[in-house]
Amino acid sequence: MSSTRPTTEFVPEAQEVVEEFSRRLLELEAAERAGVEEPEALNAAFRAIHSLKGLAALFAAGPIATLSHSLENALDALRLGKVPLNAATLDVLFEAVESFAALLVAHEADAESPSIDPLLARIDSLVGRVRPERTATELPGVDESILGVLTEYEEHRLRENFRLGRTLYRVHASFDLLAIDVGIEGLKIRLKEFGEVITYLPSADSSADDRIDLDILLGSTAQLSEVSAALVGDGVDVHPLIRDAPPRQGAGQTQAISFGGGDDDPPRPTSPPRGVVATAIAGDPETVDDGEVAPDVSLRSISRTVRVDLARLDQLMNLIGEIGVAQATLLDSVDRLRRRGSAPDLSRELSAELRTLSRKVSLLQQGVLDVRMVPLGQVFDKLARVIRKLGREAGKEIRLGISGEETELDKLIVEELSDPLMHMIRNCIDHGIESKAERLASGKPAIGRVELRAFQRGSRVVLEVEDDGRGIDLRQVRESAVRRGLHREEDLREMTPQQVIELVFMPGFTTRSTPGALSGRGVGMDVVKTNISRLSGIIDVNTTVGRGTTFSITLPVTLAIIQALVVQTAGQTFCIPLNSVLESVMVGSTEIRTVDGAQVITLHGKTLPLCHLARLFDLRRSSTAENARIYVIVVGLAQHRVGLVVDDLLGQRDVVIKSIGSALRSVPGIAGATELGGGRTVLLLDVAALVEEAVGREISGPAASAPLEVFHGA
Amino acid sequence: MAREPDDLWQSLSRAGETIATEEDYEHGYSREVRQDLRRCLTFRVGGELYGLSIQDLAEITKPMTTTPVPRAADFVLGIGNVRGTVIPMVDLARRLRLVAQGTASSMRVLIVNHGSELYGLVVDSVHDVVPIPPEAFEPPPGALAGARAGFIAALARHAGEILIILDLAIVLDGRDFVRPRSSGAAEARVFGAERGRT
Repeated sequence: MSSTRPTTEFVPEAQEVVEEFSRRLLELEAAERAGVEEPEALNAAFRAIHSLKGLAALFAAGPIATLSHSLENALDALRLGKVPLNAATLDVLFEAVESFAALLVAHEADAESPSIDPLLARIDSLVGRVRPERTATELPGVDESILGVLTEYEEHRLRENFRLGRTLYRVHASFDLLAIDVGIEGLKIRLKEFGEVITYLPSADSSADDRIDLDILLGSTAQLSEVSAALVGDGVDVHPLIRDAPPRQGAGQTQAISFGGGDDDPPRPTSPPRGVVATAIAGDPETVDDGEVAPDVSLRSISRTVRVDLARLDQLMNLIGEIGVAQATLLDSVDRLRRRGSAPDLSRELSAELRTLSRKVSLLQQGVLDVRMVPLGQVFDKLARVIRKLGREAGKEIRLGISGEETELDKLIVEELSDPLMHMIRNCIDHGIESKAERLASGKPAIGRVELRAFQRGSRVVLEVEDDGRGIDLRQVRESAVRRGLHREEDLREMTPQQVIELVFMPGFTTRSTPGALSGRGVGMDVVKTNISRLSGIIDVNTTVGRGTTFSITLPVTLAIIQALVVQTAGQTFCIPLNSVLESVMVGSTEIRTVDGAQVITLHGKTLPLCHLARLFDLRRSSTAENARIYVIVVGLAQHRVGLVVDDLLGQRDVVIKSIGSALRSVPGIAGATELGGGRTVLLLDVAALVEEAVGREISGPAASAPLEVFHGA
Repeated sequence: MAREPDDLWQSLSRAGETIATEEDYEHGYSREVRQDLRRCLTFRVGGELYGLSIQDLAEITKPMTTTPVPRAADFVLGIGNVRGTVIPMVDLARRLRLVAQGTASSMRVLIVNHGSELYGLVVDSVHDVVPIPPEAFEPPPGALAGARAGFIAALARHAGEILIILDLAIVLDGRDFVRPRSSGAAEARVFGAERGRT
């Protein structure tokens, strides 16, 4: 363990930093398009790369350190305004994100690093293109003593603010030493509403030992009266910087000078008092290259997180599941004790205690589940990068809208989602969004729109990928299906539009006659369907020709512990994952109709094909008599709906999924096993496989020719 | 597990490297201790004596309740639960196409470790753990007819008897665990009968 530890810590941490960097680049790009400046994002990008450089040096990841060093220089030049930030510059920076990803993969695999020399050359050429020194904007009225303590970056920002015609304010704030963290955070948020915080300077005006005074330089378009009205009070004063006297000379001044020296000042942590100390020790960041690491990098972790192997969480989850089982058994015993009527006081007490215990256990279970949750933002960020790249490659301009990135899903599901989402996005860009000319011709805005949305609906998460492209042309789909020999023409004529759309999920299906640069190779949508089904997800397609397509994926929030419907058929008990159950209904046997040999019922005005679990599994009933009533469990897989017929519903339970071993894993229709207490082990059905079987039978079997509309739930 | 003289011999020998026996005193030398003995569990299935290296063995239990698995092969009794771990249970007699001869009291489940997963093998009865020197093993005779030939890794001679050493990789080959789809209905009846037995 100890020998592998450094790398296992390095790679994820570095990945996190690179992700942060990439997020900042996306912000910068959005700002650049909108024609505004985003100095904070730029500075944050710089800070991220600075941290990465330190990390890489600490873990002796040579090429990553080299690249981040070179990048840091470029970003420094950018934030100082020496190099213009434009689309070309951003391209180079985005390229660096990809390179970091490749380098990290190589580092983790202990493999040869891909060459970064061309990229380094491009980065260097960026820095080489330094603007001819702009004649420094005069800052009339700003005292030299203030300019003297500013870093080059801060001074640059000060001049920029002045050049943009903003008013410069000196906000003097006094904080209680004990409450300073909270105080500064609060003030910072309020300040940011008014403009840009250029710097925090320690002030010598401190009135008492237990207080810390700060001078904050703020650039704002707001009037003094507005700023004062919002900020003044509670130890805060606002003065215009230009007319006012500079901070007084004194102890604070000399202290301040100690961190203002170099051109290449390291980033400043957000909390000023600590920042002064840390940066003073850190000095010039060049020392990082000598194998030493600036203390602000090595001592503090970037985030307050603990990384835990998912396997260890699974173990915890399993244990909790077993506690749950033990508890259910206990409840059962107490119940019997009570019914026997002996020691009524004691048994009442016991059952009360047990109820408390079960509440705690379910809280514990929820807690562990929560730990596994990660926001979808992680995937969305990656996708934003993909869209940017693919759009450029396809020569289409695309605006991406993202919402619900804070929606959380089980880490495992999020990981499994990246690929299908990527395929869907590729599809949107390649097939969905038209070329600029085509869009203009049909009266649409030239810039295509792709929306990524996520939201929670009950115990499920819905993910939507929407584009405003040309939609799916059913005629084209039909033609293509015939051309590829997937279906006969006469079969297709009988299919409902929904069934035709489903054809895009068939392996090998494509409407393109020649593979496109991005997709159209006939792999993609079937992969999407497979992956989503594996996660017990449901996929729906909504399309309007000429208007666009929406794919929506409905997913369970977690996979480790699932809610299951306990059913019985032919004397055997099974569990069905509740997240693939859409509803369950009781039907009289008279309601069953037969359509061309296949049993169906009508539910919500639609025809739902039935499929008897006992028959699927060749289970023999003890009595041959048909039940007068049956239970129909409506299950869904991707876009299909099937009614699974069972003898009895026994209720709902939270169950821990257990593997039934590799030998039995290939048994179709069985996903795993679970314990139901009392040492009873029951099988968990693989609804995806069962539906696939049922649907496959219907499409290829005799029922295919019947006008059978597959039930399509809302 | 039953201790027997060989066990004692082995532990003594580990402590002292060489041990002189009464016989040795007579002949005037001490004999070298064998380090290469393979210890095998012997058990009976369908009247035949089988051996399994104890390295493959995790534990031995009495038959337990199993949950039948639809669509699994006929020799798969179902799944059992060993302290929270779900394992496939194999009727070894049926797997080897023999007729089980055990009684309810003599039958045991050998929990074996194969490919880092556990499996339960139901056998008629369990006997001994015996040390077998490498030279007592012989390859399965090529002429050995019968459907079981493929399952046999080696034969071993011990105390005048022939032990059949099973090849777990073949016995527990996952590809055989799923019932072929075509003969589903026919085997369902067999399967039903199976459930009554355990």
